[in-house]
Amino acid sequence: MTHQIGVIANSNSHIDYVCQLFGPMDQEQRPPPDAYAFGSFVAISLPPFPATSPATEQDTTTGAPCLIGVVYNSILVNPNFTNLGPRLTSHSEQAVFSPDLIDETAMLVGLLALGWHDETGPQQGTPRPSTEVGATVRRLTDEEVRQFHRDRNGRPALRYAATLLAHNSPLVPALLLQIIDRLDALFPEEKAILQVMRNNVAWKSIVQPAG
Amino acid sequence: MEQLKTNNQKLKTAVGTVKGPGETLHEFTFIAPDPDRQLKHGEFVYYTAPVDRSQRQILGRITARTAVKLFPDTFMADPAVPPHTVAAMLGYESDATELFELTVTVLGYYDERLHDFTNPRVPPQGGAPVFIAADGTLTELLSRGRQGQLGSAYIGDLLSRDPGAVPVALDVRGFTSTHLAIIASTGSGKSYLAGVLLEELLMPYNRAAVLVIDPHGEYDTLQQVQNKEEFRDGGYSPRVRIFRPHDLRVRISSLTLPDLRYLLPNLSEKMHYQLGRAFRFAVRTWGEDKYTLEQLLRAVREVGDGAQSEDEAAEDDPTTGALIWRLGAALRESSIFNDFENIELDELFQPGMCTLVQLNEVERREQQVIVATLLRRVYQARIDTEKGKLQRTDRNHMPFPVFYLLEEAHNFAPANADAVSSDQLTTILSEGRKFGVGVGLISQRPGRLDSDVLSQCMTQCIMRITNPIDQNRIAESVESVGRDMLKELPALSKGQVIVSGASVNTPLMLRVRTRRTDHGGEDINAPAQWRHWFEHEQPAQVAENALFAEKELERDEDGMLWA
Repeated sequence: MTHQIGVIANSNSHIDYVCQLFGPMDQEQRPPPDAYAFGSFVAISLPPFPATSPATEQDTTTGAPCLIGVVYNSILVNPNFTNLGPRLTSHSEQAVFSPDLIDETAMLVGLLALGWHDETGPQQGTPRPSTEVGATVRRLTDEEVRQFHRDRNGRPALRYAATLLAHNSPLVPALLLQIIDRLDALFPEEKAILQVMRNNVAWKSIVQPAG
Repeated sequence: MEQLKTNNQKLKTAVGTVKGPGETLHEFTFIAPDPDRQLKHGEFVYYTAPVDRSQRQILGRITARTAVKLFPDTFMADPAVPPHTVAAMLGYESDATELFELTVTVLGYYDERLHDFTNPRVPPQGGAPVFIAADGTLTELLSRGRQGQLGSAYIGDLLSRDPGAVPVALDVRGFTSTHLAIIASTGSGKSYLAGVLLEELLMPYNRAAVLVIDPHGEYDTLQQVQNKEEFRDGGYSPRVRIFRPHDLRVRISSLTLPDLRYLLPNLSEKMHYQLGRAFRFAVRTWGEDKYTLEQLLRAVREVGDGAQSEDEAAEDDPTTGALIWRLGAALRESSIFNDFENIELDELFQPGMCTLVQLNEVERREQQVIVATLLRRVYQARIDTEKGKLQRTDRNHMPFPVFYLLEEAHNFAPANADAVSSDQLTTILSEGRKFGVGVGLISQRPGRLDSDVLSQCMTQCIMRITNPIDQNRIAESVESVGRDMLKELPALSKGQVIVSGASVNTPLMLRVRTRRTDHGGEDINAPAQWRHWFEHEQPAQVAENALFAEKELERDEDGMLWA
């Protein structure tokens, strides 16, 4: 079972994508909140695929080539915000009389592409391919996250840490800490090495700014 | 063979790349990863540059090493986690984890005509390769002498290379003419080095005439050279002669007025004056170097206040009395100062002979007077011989140069104090080279050694020195050792020495070679001797103590307890 959470709606750079989560008009069951929570790992499908038909015909099964990213931000889109004037329809009638309005209300999440998956397996680093608008996004399983973070010696790898830290967002240190905490649970035997990295990031992002 | 091949390949491969000029005109810096840790402080490297229409190897010495790339400190937060594993986790899996910037002081290329290094003043091009100098090249260029050849003294190997890879031989001609200083704190191996040097001087290729002033009697073991095959060559076999304190004789008439004044402490102005007059009277009356103590005492009486004529001496004059008493105390009661006997110079000096003058148990002032007398007599004999005043049949004829080695030199030329031997040493150090009198000073306290004396020694062997006062004195007095080398002084281990000056082509850090004779300057092993006492000498002592313990204690009238 794949946990599709949305489609790519926009991008800010080669690695910085915006995913629009499935709304009530797209799927009967909306993705559960923990599927797109801050720090969740996702797979973004790669072309070729029909860009206009999300959630259909795209191979989102595990093992298919995809970009691997992480949720680093979330934005709510509400076209009705600050529109305080009187409306002809009440809130409960909107689904009947103004369905467009409901469709325009959306939740967007920012994704940073931290690697990719191809026939050789998962790779960390700046991905060579880029995806397109409409590419589906699904949540990675714990096993996939573990595979993505395992180097050839079976040790945890965080090769994207430098890219992440260079990203201009105040949320990045918290994101990295959260990732390390998750890896801590996935690689219990490598706790010591992860702790060195965690303490390093925590010191620079928590202690030093307050000092 | 295979290893040699690998080593050669390594040497031909560049170890670094020139970054640019250094802080001073004769410095440049280069960048190197140095994974094999071969670019040590003091190591010799070279770059090539065109000089006189040919490519020359411009040799330089590494004088500073700073890291330009290292793991962040935070990667070392957990001793159980090596920093390279943290780096590997972040995607840096290369072995090239360090990078160094090395400062090189340029010595130049070796000019065969000048027998010295010439700095071509051609700065290396940025990006030019830097190579490690080959062992053979260094052996050829660094030493003035060649191991085992006439006039060489092989004292050790270059410290930055494997033992035996780059042997360094001092130029004996250099240090026997322009003098030598061995400076080291206690226990760093200065007597050992002096022993090595003496062995080399007695080798068949040198056959030196050496005299060692040995205040602690620790060079006895040098006698072994007489029985060792490697010191023999054809009919030559070195000799070692030891003068123990009871063998020493100094004829009173060979003492100068300053010697006498120095031996007699606390003389008043009047006594000084009267002693001077008496000395001149004695010389005038009985001849230079031909009077006895009684005659000197008589001269004191003759020139004293109240003396009416030669027959009527001033017995009651207090100055005369005090002077006579002092002369008697200093000279009559000494076993060394003597009316007639004197150690002849030909007993002390002969080529191929090392004379050890042991001064243990001799009072400090007497030691200084003995040394001053010996120095003066030899120096005068050499001057007279060189100027043709003495003939082959004359007693003091000395047709060969000599070398003095003075242990505890700070006692004979102290800083901020007057010693009768200081003046004589200063004279020989400044003018001795003209007459073939060389001096080697050995001291553990350069801070207490007269700085003029130290600065006149043109070859310096400096071993570990931790005392900052001593370090400063060396920095002041020894010009040839650069500041960068002086920084190494506290870090030198036992048996490691910095040699600089006239006997080597450039300052070098060496590992002193193993002595062929035993080392006699070992410390007493107190715990072993205490244990020995318990095992061999205790029973008698215990019996005595038992008798003592059996006695009843009695209290005397003052309340003290007595057995």
